[in-house]
Amino acid sequence: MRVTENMNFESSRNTIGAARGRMNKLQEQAASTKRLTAPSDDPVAAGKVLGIRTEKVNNEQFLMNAKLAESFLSNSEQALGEISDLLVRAKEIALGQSSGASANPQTRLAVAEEVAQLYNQSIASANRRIGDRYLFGGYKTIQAPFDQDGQFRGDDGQMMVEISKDVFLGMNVAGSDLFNTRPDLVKKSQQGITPDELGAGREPASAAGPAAQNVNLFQELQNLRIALLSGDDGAIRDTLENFDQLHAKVTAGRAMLGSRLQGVWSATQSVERQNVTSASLGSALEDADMAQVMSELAREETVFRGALASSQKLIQPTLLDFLK
Amino acid sequence: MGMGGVLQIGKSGMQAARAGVSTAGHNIANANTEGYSRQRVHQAAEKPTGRDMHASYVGSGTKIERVDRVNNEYIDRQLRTTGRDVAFAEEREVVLRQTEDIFNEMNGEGLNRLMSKFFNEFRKLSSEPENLALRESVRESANSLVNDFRRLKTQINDVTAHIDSRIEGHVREINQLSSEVSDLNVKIRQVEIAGGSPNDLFDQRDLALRKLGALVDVSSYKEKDGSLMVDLRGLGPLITTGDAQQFTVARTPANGSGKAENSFDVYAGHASGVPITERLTTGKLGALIKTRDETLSAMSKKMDIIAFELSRTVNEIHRMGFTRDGVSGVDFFKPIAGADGAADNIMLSDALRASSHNIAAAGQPNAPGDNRVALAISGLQGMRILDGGKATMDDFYNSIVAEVGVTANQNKATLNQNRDIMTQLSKMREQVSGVSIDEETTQLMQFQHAFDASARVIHVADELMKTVLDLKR
Repeated sequence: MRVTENMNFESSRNTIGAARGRMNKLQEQAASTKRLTAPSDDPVAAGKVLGIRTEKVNNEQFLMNAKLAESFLSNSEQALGEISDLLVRAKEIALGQSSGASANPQTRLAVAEEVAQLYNQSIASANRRIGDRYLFGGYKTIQAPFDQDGQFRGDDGQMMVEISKDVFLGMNVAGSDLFNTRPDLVKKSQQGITPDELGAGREPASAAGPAAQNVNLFQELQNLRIALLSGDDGAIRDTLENFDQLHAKVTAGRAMLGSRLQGVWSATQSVERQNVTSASLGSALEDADMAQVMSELAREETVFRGALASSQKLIQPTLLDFLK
Repeated sequence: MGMGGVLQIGKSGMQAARAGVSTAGHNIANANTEGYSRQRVHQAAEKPTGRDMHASYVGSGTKIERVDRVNNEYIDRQLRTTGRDVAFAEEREVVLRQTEDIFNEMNGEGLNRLMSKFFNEFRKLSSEPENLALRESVRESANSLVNDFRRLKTQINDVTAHIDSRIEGHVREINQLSSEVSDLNVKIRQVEIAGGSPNDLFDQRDLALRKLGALVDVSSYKEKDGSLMVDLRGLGPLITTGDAQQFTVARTPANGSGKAENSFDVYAGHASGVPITERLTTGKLGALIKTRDETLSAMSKKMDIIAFELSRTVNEIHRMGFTRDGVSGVDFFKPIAGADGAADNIMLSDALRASSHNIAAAGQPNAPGDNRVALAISGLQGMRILDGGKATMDDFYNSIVAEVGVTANQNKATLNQNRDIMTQLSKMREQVSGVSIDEETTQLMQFQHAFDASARVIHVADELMKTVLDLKR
């Protein structure tokens, strides 16, 4: 085989060039700690990495939403807890005052005052808010849902939040649902588009209570106070049954909020778990294995030194060196 | 044979040796000349002339038959083909790398992030629709998103413009090389008619042809008179003796096969009639045209589709909703008539640019806590609205990025493969045609000795002559 000087030079150039190229790639990986610096490095992995990134950004928002829903729900639950306690107290009062034996006009006047307090407390609890947002006003979140007469001024809007991919959860319960035993009998104001048109679901109306008549919480407290003031034993007794219904209703509401909270927690957990697995998948796809990169870099350096050394040998003296 | 014959023999030997030395020297001098093939002197014994006193012929010296270049047509042809493929992949690599950089997804804020940010801002707004600051950040994220659509499109156009300027440059080079080959044809023919062998001109012509072959697909054949006829494969003659077809480029309107408005079409001859742009599929020119009219054009079209569908679907929902001021029927993005050029034209609607109050988050008026529309818009992220209901906007966009990656990746593989073949072929050519200094030095020595010996022959002839002349004394 004829071997010419140019062949020697060419192959030296090639080996040194190739070694430098590989070292450069490895150095890039070592410096960025990333295996992928351009989509063409591994197109399939690059596509997946983009998907994972979107998922991560979404998951962060889902977690934020879940936090917010949690605070909404647990605050609602607390407010309902207060109202539930207050109903128990109201029933106690009604029970105590229902038989003429243990009651006289003076004590009734005093407890009527307490019932008035209970009424004010119930309005305050029903107007509970986080920041500037009222909890029980449906979509009407920036005005108090109940006025001093206990009139509901909100709507039955259900605020759905996405707490995990395609998992929507209502983070509020409208006051009209909670404080009426038969909200379906209360005229609802509904305008605009229905959420079904937009694809977001809405909680079905709560199951109807046992009574055919609607009982309103604030109304009932007022009824009790008036009955106490007027000394109407029958009317006081009537409230007993109604308070039971209301209490059951509020308790059912609390149970529902509790189960939604459970839903939030389990969604949060699954999102967090997913974050961990997708982070490790993303890292496996995208990150350089530093130990491997470093050892490969060391190996390439040896190869490079070898290429240089062999080039030195290749560029040998020619015959000319031996001719005088 | 007379005494003069011996002198003649000596002279012919010295001449041949000098030619050998010259050729070896020429070879050494051109050891690093691109495309040079080493040359060899072909010597032959001179025909014996007449009968001597003996019954047999006595030789009458040597002659230089011709000086040949040592080359292998087959390898040269292979080199041209592979050179064309390497040039194709190299050229494509340059523009594909630029294209990859446009998307900037692996290490920067690409469209993918901005798009998920956009939907998440709506998701955030849906969790707190009363919050004015959140409205503002929805608007901001939408702004960054439309800007990035426009940035992407501008950069795709920049790469297209860059490709066009390269096409123009390459066409100029083709014209120059074609003229060079046809000029060389004329010169070679002149020398050949005179009976010479213009080796160096052959080498120059081969080199020019190889460069030409890297740019466009050409085939060639040799005429009897030494001229090289070059055809543009599938398109007829490019170069004849003394005449070369000149290419021109001209900006033309968009055509159905992906060429963008106002980018270059290539014509054989004047810029009239049917352009040959689509017929150029190999070589550097082919690589540029393929990247411009297939890869970039498809990408640009897909970006338009995403931009169009995004603005259409968001608007559709947004119009159903109610703004903070209780107005419905407001567009979020400025409505775009069709997908064509949508990514260039996407922008926020006038209402949105006026105030973030005009973001419709609610499904009914006067319901500040109503988040249904914001929620529905954020839900678009996961909806399969593209590619005939098979892909979400994310999927669709990611597939564009992956596609660029795959194209670039495959091209890299092809390039490496062809480069290896090229190296191998170059080595083979070098083996045959390359100049080895050692070998040439040996040749030098060999011819030097021959020269010395031939001089000695003349010397002997001179002595003989003297002897004869001295006989009389």
